[in-house]
Amino acid sequence: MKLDENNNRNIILHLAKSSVNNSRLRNFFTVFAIVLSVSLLMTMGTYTLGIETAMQRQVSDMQQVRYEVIDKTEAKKMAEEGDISYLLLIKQGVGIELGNKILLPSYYAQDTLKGKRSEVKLSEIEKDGTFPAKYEEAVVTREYCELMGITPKVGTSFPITGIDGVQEEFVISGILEGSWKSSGMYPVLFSERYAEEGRLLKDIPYSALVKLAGGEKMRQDAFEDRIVRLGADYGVKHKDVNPNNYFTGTLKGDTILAQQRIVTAAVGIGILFVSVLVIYSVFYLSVIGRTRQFGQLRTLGMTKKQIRKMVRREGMFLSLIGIPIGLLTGGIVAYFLKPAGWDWTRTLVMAVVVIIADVITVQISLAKPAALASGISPIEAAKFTGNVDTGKVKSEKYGTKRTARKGHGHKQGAVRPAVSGKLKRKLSPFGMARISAGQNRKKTFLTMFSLGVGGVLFMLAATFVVSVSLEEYSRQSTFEKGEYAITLSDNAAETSGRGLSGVQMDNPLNKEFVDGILSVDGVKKVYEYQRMEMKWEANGEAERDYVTGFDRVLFGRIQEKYMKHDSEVRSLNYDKMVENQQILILSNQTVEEVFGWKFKIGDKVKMAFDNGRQTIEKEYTVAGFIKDSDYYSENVINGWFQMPQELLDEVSGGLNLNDTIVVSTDESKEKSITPAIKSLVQENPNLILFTLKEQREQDKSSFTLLYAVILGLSMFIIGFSMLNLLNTLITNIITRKQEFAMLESVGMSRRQLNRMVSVEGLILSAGNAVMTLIAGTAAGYAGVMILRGFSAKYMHYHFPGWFYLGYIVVLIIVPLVVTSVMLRGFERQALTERLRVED
Amino acid sequence: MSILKTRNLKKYYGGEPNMVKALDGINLEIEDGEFVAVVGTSGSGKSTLLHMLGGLDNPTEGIVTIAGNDISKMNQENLTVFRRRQIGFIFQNYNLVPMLNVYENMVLPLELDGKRKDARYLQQIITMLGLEEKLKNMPNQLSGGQQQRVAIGRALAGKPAIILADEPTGNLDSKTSQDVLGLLKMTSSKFHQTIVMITHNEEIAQLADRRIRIEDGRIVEGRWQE
Repeated sequence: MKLDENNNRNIILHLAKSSVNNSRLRNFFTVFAIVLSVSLLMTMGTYTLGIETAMQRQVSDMQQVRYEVIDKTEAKKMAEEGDISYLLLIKQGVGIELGNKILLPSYYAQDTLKGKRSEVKLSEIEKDGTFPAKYEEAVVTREYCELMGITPKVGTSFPITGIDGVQEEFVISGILEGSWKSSGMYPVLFSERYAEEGRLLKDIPYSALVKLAGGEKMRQDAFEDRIVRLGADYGVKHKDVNPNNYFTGTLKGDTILAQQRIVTAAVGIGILFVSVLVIYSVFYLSVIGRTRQFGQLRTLGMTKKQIRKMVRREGMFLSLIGIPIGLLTGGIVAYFLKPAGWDWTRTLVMAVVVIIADVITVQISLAKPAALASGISPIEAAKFTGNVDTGKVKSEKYGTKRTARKGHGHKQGAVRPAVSGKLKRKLSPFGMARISAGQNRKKTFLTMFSLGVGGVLFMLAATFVVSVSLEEYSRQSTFEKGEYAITLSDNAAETSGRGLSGVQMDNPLNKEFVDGILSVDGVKKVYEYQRMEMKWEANGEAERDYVTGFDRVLFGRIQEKYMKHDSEVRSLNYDKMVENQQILILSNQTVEEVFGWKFKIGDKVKMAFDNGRQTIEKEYTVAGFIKDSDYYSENVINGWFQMPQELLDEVSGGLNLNDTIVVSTDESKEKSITPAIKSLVQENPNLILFTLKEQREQDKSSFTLLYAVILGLSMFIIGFSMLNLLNTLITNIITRKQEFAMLESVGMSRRQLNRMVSVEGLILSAGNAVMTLIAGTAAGYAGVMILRGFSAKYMHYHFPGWFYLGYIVVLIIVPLVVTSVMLRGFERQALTERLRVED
Repeated sequence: MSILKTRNLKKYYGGEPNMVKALDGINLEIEDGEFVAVVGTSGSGKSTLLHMLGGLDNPTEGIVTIAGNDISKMNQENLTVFRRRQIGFIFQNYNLVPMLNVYENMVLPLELDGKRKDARYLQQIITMLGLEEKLKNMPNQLSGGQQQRVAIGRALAGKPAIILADEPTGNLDSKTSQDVLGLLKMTSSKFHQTIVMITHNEEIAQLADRRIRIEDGRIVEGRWQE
């Protein structure tokens, strides 16, 4: 048996325990750091998982995909596919406008073609009612009855007037559960027979709500691939495959989900890194402070391995206290942040991950201090004076090189300058503080560095807060040029029977209206934005969309600003485009998302326009693509197709294409302008008013929350830094109690001592302040530039002066207060007693 | 002329019935330039006496006068300043400032006081203490005897009214002890420096001009006045 392998487990454990019991301050800091890091990790991890869980729960009773247009017989065949677990046929008719509400004629099959009906949550019928079975039976909402003055009771007859003005009589067979007050849509459910033969639904194709068996475990791309193929097999076009984005967002391989996880993991690693710094420096200082004790233990026969083990055990003891507290705190916070996402199994798994991560963190943090402790020799310990960087000859140079070292013996000349000349290092309290900070460079650097990490993160957060221009954020797109936007109601277009053109035939955004707006006192300018609805056909797809015109001036800007440098459009010519019937495509990326293909140069696009008088069909050629998402600031209402104004005029047949007007005003007259514009808009039910004021309020509340989260998180990280600073300051003072007493005994006054120790602390703060200023400013600037690159054009770099000043104030106050409090504490003990202190 | 006087000096610790009378009515006078050894067994009160004389601790009763100043009536700040100007200390464990080199340690009290250094005098001390080659060394690069020489140098540097040495050879071997004591003796005569040295070693005490024995907080032997 080797000497160090005897039965010593208990004594090491005992020593570690008693050491833990004796160093309350170190324990406090270590446990606090562990609690902070564990609770932060736990909160973040559990919260992230909680969001996912809540979403998965939410989507578990939703359809995974909706096939918008499917033949009934094909749907029946599709239901027989092995990987389909649920299929329900539904129909949704054209909405019928009822004032500002819309009645939505719908049909939901009573029985599914596959799976249980309850697998997808649909509105249920109240108990005393039944599913509509007969042709004239219907289920309505209580709110609809109220609106129409119908008694909401089974058996009541009521009429529905269709868009074409034809009235039909129905009988209530049931009332839909739930409150529909806040909803703009009131569904009315018809029977299967009515869905097949009734005026409001017979021409509407069936849609299928579908779930795949094990779909929730598939990768996102595999799932999307499968539903498209499945649809194709049963005659569903790509554009009619409508995956439930909520659902696909929960699948593996989702980029947003993956990004969230990467960010969480990166922040987690950051937290662990800061934890390592703090725990390392707490233990490092603790080991230095106990050099004599370790030396004694070595003298008494403890092996290096045993010392290492002892220090590590101390860390484990403290982890045993800190980790459960952190887990509990983090778990509770995460629960309250997202109660709907609470899941015991996931929380326990997260807890295990956090425990492992933190135990490893503590062990990494302790490796160096433990090695340092085990490396202390008994002789070194006896000579220990409280300074770390011993051994190296740090002789100050007084002019000439030391002659004695060269063996020339004593030379008066080498000494004299030291005696007669001035000291190279000033022994004032300030000078002594500098010497002290310079002595333990590693300790000083370590503290400055770990403080700096917190400071940089704080600056990053503060830069974000001060660099967001809320005004610009709110003014993005719609409100860029004005404070009011008046737009044609989508509801009106939907119910007009001829779409947008139907509303534009008697366009309320006419000259008279614009003049009315311009006559309001304080209105400076009105910007009119136009678009025309049409039906297009290309690459075998047919769809309704909008076309917007551009004039020569705008075309110049398009060529200059909204194109790739190597784009073909740069060589295009406006007149040539008119001559060759050429168009530009905006958001080609979205086209690919919807149809699975992109427009290419030279593609032919057939368009059918309804200008109220006639339907005109034309064919255009794709000439190029508008890339930049900023193009929306040129025109707040864009479709995929942009064409020269001349071409648009050819087909519009004098139709007033106005869709939205933006009103620029003198904001100081806001109080009188708003009611005036409101009353003009209210005269026409087909107009909707949006105001910058409402937008600002909405944005302000959402950003206030974001700021709170960001600053809260950075405060947490600063908490680590401050913990470290406090620990360093306090340890520094406590371990040098005797040294300070010594200085007092040779005549250093309390004030001088206080100044010296304060300056030592302030040197750390200054280092941190400089590091925070340089690295924090750089990080903040880079952060803003990166966000601007991601289209956050409302961000402008501003130096967070007040935040930095606040940080500096804290950095100044903490050392001053700590020094003053600690030294005052010493004064309670007589100088003679302090002089006797060992360790 | 007496440079140091105490009148009815008392230092009691704790309260009745467990009161410890570390010093119990000490009356003492020390002449200028005198080298006095205070001897006594462990716990006799000799270290407490030294601390009272140096203003490191406050007496329970009585007065201490150094160069005509009653230090028992001084506040902490004044006492500190008085200490660095008028009293030099030599401790058993040297008490050098670890982050300062030998020379800086020696001139520290002068620097703290903002006094001009007397270069010729400092050179004399350094030469006498044999520290010429060690001026740039840090304390932990020195032997015990060398460290104590630095402590003596520091005590002398400010030309104090009195040097108080607490077991200055307690940590040293006998050869080094002899060297250090020899230096103290030489200092006393060469610079006409008053030195009060505490020791439990009778042999060492023999080297002093006068020996005062203290037991249970009272002076039991030596030239003292009632």
